[in-house]
Amino acid sequence: MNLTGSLFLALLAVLTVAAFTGVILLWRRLSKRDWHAVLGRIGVLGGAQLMVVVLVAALANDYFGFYGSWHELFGVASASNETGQNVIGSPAGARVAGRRHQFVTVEQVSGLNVPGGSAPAVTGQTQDVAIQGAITGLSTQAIVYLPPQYFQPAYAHYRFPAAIISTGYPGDLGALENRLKYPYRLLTGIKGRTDKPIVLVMTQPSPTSVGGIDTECTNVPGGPQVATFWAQDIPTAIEQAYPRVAAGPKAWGLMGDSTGGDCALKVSMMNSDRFAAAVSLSGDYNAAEDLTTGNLYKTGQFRDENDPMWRVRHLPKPPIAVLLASSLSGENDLPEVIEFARLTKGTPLRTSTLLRNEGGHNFATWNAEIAPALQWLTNTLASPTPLPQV
Amino acid sequence: MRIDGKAFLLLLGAGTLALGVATVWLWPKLAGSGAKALTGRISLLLGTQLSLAATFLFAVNAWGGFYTSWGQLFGTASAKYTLVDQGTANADRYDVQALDGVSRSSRPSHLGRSLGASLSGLRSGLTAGLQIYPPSDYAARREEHHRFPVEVVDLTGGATGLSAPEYQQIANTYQVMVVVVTGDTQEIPGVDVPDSEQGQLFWAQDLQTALSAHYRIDPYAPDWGIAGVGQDGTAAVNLAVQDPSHYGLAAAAGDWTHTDPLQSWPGVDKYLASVPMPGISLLYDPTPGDVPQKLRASSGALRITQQRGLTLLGELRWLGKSIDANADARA
Repeated sequence: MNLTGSLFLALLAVLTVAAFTGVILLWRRLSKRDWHAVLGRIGVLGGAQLMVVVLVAALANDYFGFYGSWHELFGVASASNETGQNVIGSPAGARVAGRRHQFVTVEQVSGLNVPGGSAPAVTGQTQDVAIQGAITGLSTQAIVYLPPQYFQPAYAHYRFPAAIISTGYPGDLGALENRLKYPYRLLTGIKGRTDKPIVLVMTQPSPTSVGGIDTECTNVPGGPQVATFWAQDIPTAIEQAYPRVAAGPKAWGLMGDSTGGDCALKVSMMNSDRFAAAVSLSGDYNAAEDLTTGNLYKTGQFRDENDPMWRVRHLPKPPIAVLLASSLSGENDLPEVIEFARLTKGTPLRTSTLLRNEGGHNFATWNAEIAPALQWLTNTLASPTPLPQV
Repeated sequence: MRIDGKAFLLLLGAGTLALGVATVWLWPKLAGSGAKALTGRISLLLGTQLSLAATFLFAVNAWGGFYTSWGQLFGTASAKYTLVDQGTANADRYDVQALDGVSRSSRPSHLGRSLGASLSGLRSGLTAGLQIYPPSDYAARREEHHRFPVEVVDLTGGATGLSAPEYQQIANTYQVMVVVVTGDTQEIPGVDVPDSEQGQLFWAQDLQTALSAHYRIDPYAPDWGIAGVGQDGTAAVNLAVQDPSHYGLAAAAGDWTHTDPLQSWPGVDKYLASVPMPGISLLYDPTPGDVPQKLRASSGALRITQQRGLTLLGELRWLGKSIDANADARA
């Protein structure tokens, strides 16, 4: 039974109503004025209250897209975490040996359901894929969105820039498509000629094979090498599987909300030879460690290395462009955004800012920010080939 | 009252608790059989349950900082924003400037000769001296589309290098660029040492992007090799092991296994325990002993070659032959 399925929610709703009815029916039996009856009342009331909390939590999880599966909720890693026994060499090694290994498996292809039809050349196409990391052995579920231009003859020789787009943690992968509507917003921007066509690779901060731990996209010492998975494995796999995606740093960007924003900023700062731009919506700037991350960094020094604020204070500013989004009222990362912009002023690191008058750590805020942020991102990334004049 | 304020949450919590206590307390009074009693039961229980649901939701909201004003919750908050665009970073310009002593406007014939330069690492902040030896026909017209593999010689630890004619001969024999790196003040490790030298940023990003900004360089990782003696050998091995997408070949001579563990952060064996064996080839001298467990024999995609009495010249020849073998495999 799926955690986010309507079957599970219906079952919980039935149980909650049953518990409520049970209390009403048992009411008279537990109405004596002795301690047995009082304990009984507290017991049945507690049970009914517990059901309400579970139902409300499940509804909230469904609505806000935190945990997409039981495996994400309980932190069980999927079977392919066996340090990549099923990976045969790196793509580089594979090429030396004259063989090519496929690191992307397409599982399902769908059109984008918008008025005007769902033909790929009109609305683009989403592909549910599994990405296998050649270097790290990690693997993840992802959704690739190919814009309509990818299917248009005029663009047959165009090389498309690409961006890794991430949820927060916890975050359901499907929410990027359904709730935050990245493909739809990009399509709208392309049609309105404010956005350039790029390929979106939508994923989560922790690869599926890592299970329910918030890795904050860290190369965990002796553990999953998630930063490398993002910086090397995903671009390599995508460039190989979609040869019309442009290679090279100018064409690759990163974007995400919350933990996804932390990842975008950190991975781009650490890999400025692979990425040109990053967007962080409501990100953290302090290498967070909490219940969901566990002891990620092992040492304070390594935690510093993973802290974007420490990096801008103590290391050279890498040549990337970043867009940091926050709100003048309602979000607690505003001072860090302002400080980051101040510290990087006049350095190779260009900090653009998107500041809302009011906002919070919620979909309403990100939904309003994604369109202008995508416009910035698609115009900051560059293809090695000129855009066809259509 | 703030939606995420303590006062509001305390009020909700107190209300829920009071309703719970009231339910248990008033229970006997509502135990009658009439419609009035039944309505009373249902209302009280419903109130208790809704109150708890609200407390739970607003507490989670305050904890996560999701909706921080009533206006956001009800969609009446200001949607205005300001985007200040500082534009693209123009990394190319910085990568060109990072290498001082090589002029981009130089005629190809100038680039075809060996020259000295200094590199100011844009990302690592580390600086080093470079001696660059292109193959002698680098500037020839028939080579103008040829991109050359690179053999990096790490001398930042202060080991004695070879003579210029020897480097040039390696460059000519194997048709590679030989790039000799000497340290200004310190050796440069092969990894980013936490809170210390960002060696991986230097070798993998600063050096590769700066060279590629000036020369026709093969971007293919298996055609990038690095060689060192002693602690520079440690750096070479660590770099290829931990960053196979930048360096596919590494060679270590001398006593390369007895260096400060921090220079190998988080440790070769510890690192390799968490990833598949990288698709790289390593050559090393086993004489000093204490070779990391996982580097003692070829395994998976990892190729190990051992040679006792290995010299720097031997390392560079092996790198050249390995690069030749790559070309043969591609052909």
